[in-house]
Amino acid sequence: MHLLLNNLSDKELLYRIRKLEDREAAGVLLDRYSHLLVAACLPRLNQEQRAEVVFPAITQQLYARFQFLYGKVNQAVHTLVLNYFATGSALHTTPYEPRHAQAVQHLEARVEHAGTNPIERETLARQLEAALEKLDATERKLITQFYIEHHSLRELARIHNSTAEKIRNQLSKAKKKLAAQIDGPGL
Amino acid sequence: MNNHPNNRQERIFKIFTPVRCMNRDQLPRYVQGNMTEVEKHLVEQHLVDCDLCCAAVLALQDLRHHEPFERYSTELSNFLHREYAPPPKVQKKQHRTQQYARAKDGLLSSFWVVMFIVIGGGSVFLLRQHLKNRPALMILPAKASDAVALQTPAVHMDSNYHEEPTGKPGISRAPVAAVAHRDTIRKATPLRNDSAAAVKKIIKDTIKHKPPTDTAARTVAKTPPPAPKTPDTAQKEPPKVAAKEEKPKEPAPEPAEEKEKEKETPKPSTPTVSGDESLFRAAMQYQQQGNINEAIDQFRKLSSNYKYSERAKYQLALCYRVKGQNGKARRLLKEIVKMEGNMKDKAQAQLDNMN
Repeated sequence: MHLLLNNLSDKELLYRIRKLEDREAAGVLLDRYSHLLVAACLPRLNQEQRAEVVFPAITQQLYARFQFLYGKVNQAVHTLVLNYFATGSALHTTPYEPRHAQAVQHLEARVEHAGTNPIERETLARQLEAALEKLDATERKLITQFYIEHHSLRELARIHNSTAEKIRNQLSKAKKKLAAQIDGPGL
Repeated sequence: MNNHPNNRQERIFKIFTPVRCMNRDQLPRYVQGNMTEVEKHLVEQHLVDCDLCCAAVLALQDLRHHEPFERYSTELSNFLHREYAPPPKVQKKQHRTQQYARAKDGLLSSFWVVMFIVIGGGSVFLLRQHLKNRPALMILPAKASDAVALQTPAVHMDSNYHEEPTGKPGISRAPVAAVAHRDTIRKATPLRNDSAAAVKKIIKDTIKHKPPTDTAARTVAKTPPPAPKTPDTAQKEPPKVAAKEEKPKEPAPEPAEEKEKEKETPKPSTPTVSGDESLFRAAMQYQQQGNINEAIDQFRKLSSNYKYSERAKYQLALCYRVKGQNGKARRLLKEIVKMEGNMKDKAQAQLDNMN
């Protein structure tokens, strides 16, 4: 059963947790993100926030969060870690995603659903190109270099005389702008 | 190559193609730089979107965190495996099924015990009812001599009443029942004998000829056994029984020989019924049996009698109505009404019905 659950996607596992109250599926999902949770928590661990206390508490809160989670699990884990170390052990939930995050998710779903349908893909590609043209020159150049020319973050950092983290943040912002333009009410 | 339109289209879709988070193996490899260019680019595409992976990569870039990361991630994984392990459902299920099977067996066994008791009790009850109500012929072989001896006088009685319609003076007259089946029951009950002369005729009155039905069987059972026979009768009995066994179901009146034989056999329980009453009963019997003409004759004879005239006329009217002679029936009923006796209301009701 455990092996079968490992092959399921996050969405399917969340569905099982929500509908079937499958505790084993929750265990699989938590285990899938446990190493990232540990890595993200490590810089914040200290004498007060010990690993023996923090990890069971965060996993317990995550299990509770999974009961009504529809979005991305990684975002939920990150938000919960930030909230845990910012405000203590209280359970924090974000019922509504920010609009740009929702736009990114919608666009990802459209690309996924387009599949191999040439008409849908052509339409979507034309929209993306149009939205890309509306971006700033720097953002457009970054996106083109990263996604189309396949430069790595470190290469881009070297080209733009910046750090990889800053390049990553710029790319993230440009992507959200792009999604917001396509998913906006005008289009 | 990068400027190829199809290639560009494919790559522009990658902006919004979701990539999975780094797994337990990829994270340290990416930090250490042990990845191919393609895999590395895929991971970086994901890093642009995923804050958690980005935080993890940043944390692991500090070498001090490598050892605790390995330790804590293993411990946390083991903890999660134990904490969220599936409960031993199979054993519980088996236990439940065993309990369920036991309960089911218990219920079934108790059900069948109850059913056995109910069916057994019911069959015993039905058997008793059957034994009570079994037909007269089934009893005959056991008490053949009694049954024969008792059934014969009935035959005589009917034939006798044609000859002797009027009652003899000095004989006590018991009240006559109007309802037919009541009569039969009464006929079965033994009555006191007032005089030795009336004994034989009373026997004839009380025991009537009937086809062998259940009621007949009951009457036979209820009548007391005949008194010990005299040596004379004992001698005569075997041929009589033989004669009776030849015609056990014959409803017609028997010849006079049997009448004589019957007179010879003494009956200790002879009922006291007057001649007119017995005549009336015989007429009722005929009416019941459907022998309307005979009944009409008997009722006509009785209609001259003061005591029975009203009832006899009423029954006569009913007989005429059955025969379809409504005019006669009406006339008789009107007479009864004019007489203003006990039967006035009934006669009036019958008249109303006929009208």
